Amino acid sequence: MASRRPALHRGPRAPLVLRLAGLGVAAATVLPIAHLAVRAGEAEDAGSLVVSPRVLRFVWATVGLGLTVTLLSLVIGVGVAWLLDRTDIPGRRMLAVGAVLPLVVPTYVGALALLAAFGPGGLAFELRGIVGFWGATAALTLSTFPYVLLPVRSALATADPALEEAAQALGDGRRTAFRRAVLPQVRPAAAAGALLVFLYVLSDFGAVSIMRYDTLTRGIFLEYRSAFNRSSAAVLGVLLVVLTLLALAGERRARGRMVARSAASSAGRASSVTLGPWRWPAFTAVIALVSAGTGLPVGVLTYWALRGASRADGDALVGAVGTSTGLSLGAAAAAVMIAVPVSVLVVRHRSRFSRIIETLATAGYALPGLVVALALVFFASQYLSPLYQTFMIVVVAYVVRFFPEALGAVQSSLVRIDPVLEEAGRSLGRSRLDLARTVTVPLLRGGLVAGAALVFLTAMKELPATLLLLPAGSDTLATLVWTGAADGRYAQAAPPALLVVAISALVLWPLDRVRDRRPRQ
Amino acid sequence: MSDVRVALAGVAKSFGVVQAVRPTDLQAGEGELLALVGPSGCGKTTLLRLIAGFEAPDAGTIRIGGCLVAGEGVFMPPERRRVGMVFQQLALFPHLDVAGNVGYGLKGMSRGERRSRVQELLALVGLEGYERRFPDELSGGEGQRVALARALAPGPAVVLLDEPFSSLDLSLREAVRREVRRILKVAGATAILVTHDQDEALAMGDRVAVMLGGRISQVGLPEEVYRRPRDVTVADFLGDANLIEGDLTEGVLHTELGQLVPNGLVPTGPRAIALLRPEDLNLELVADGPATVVDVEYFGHDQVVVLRLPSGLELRARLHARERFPRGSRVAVRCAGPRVVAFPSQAARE
Ligand SMILES: Nc1ncnc2c1ncn2[C@@H]1O[C@H](COP(=O)(O)OP(=O)(O)OP(=O)(O)O)[C@@H](O)[C@H]1O
Ligand SMILES: [Mg+2]
Repeated sequence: MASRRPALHRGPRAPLVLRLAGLGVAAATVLPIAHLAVRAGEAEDAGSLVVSPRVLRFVWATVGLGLTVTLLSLVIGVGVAWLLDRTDIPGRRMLAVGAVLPLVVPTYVGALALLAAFGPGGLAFELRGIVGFWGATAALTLSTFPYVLLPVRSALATADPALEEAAQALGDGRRTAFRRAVLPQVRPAAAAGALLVFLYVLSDFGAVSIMRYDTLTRGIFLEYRSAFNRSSAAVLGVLLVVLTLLALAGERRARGRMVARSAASSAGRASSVTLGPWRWPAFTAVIALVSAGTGLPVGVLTYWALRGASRADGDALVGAVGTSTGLSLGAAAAAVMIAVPVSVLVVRHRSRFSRIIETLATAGYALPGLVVALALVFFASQYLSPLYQTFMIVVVAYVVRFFPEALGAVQSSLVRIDPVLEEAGRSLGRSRLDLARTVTVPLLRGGLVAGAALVFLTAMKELPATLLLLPAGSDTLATLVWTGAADGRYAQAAPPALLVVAISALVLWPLDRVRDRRPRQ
Repeated sequence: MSDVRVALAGVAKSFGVVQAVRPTDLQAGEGELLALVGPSGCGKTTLLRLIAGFEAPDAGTIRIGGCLVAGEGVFMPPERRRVGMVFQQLALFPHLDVAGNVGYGLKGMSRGERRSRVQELLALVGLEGYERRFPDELSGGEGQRVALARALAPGPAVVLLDEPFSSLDLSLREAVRREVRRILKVAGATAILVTHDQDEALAMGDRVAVMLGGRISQVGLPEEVYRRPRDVTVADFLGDANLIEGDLTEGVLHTELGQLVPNGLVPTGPRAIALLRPEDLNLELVADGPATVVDVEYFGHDQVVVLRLPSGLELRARLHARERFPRGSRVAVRCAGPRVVAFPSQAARE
């Protein structure tokens, strides 16, 4: 009781600095989007545009692709999770690591690799119909199924095996027992993963544009580039936001109906299914999946990179590495620095105000990156013209989009710091600021590193906002990949693509270790 | 009481509709260890947090060392109040070693001065050689002493201890308690110790303040509050209390146990209640004694015999363990206490 009190304590109002930091982040997200909505409303043909056959085709293509990819990801994700956790499949550990590796491959890299292998002029043979729907489906499925796999695996790990055994004791066969006792327990996790996949597809720009499949994001980009019709881009952007919000609202309702998991945690290990003659075929299938998601892109791109090595533009590549790293570092540092005061506001000064700030500050994450970028373009060109066409605005866009990653990481380490430590420090005569420097920030270190690494990682891979906002004449790794792929020059797109993957993997590796290490408590 | 170090006058604090602290006066003298005792939720922690500056009072004034720190439009932040705190959960900084923790509050000192002050305190709490240990490498009792050394290091005007022993297990508690009292006395510190354990309060406090329902009901020497509680609730809270009602005529209380002569303040009115502590009762095995032995709680060093009087009233008597009182046996009860306290009858009927 006594130890919890200070955390709940609604003290005197949060210090001004904290409130200003919170307001700043919220404003950076809300104002551009609001401005975009206003712009869309001003388009005189907004109404007829929304119901025009062309736009309806965009919507249909987006939803169709989203549903297909979600369904495939569900099947693959749940299937592989079951193979890994409930069967005697060989090489379980290796496969488990391999199966989540696709997370470091951005969709545009996956799409590029598919084209570079099976597209026109590709390395292997040409698959008819790879350009368009099926190509986009393949690229997106291969990089999104881990979003289902991961939560389902952790649900399976905590699912109560007693329920399964009870079902078997009641006379169900293994298979029926799985369907009746296990599936209901992983359903919430699978549903949450599926929503992530669907949102991911809604917002994806890289894969669909490389596969030249006309979804809303590609439509927005094309409208925007055809310079004379920017307000119709705004209309499409708002439409995409509405679709996103609908998906989120749907998930809320679905989640409300979910049954709480049985509180008893796993009393014993779940029994594992013997695959018998299917062991090795199952193993081969998972290996094939892992190869398609990670091995294929790396292999194909390495081939193209080597083939084009003699004609490679080394300077452009070095420049892009510098730009990418600089922008991502800037975004990571800024996001983490802002996340500290905002998380203190949200965790230590809970009030209606801080809850609203939290919601608004994290909204940028749910919104498609292209829309955030578009909103920032409009907003900056009108109100912040000195920022327009500078690297600064790119950093702002990254921070708006990826701030929730930093906030989440910092917040989750902040809640583990007992606020009584801060009181102890103050009663020892140290000022708040002094205390933040000597106690809070050192104890937050794990969260700060994790948050910065996450933001760095996602910013490194970011494509749509970068394309829209980067000053003319400069390139990041992502934009180099994109232009090379759009022109079918695989040899030129391959090296930056490989670099993106390599840097992501390099950052992810220490990140994993930081997260595992707990601060002394 | 020597010089007043901490003085609260009319201090009150509410959280919404909860009146955590009702208008309260309290003083702690220089070098005094004041034990603040009361049941859970009576406002002890809130009172300490008001003194430390983590809460602002709704009314009243707080002075520390003669200096107004809260009230009358003044609010001095905690870092300027020179108040040392020892928390129940210790709150040692996990990323600093023992030396870093103890030295944390030492500002404006050279490195050498700081090191020797840390040494001095570690010697005081008996933890020389522990400088490089981290908090997770300390036992509960050691952590407790580090927390105390850290609070004492800057030479605070007053040390506030909020249930510092409740996270220790029983076997350790008594030793740590004694040790903490010794350290505070050697350091000459003024201290307010919060506890909800009456034995702890009586054993440790130079004076004891009993807090009930957001209000300080009584302040006094341990034997004073124990032997002469101000009312029935205080009596009841501080240890076992046998309360027995009777008719009051000319300063003599006629009860089931015979005539009792209250001393000190004698209530007026036809009926009054006497307080008899269990150790005030003597028993004698008598075949036709008026009381029946209902139960015996045996503690080794002594025993508590539970009796029932003809009226149905149950009494507890604390006696040497030598004599045996079998269950069901009849006994005569005699009052052997040094003096008897009586309260007005209606107070007991609350
Ligand atoms: N920050 C707060 N907000 C709302 N109510 C509070 C707050 N702090 C204390 N209270 C209430 O004030 C009353 C006194 O609380 P306090 O913590 O001072 O009691 P306590 O005597 O220290 O109890 P314990 O022995 O359980 O620690 C309780 O009813 C409590 O619920
Ligand atoms: Mg308390």
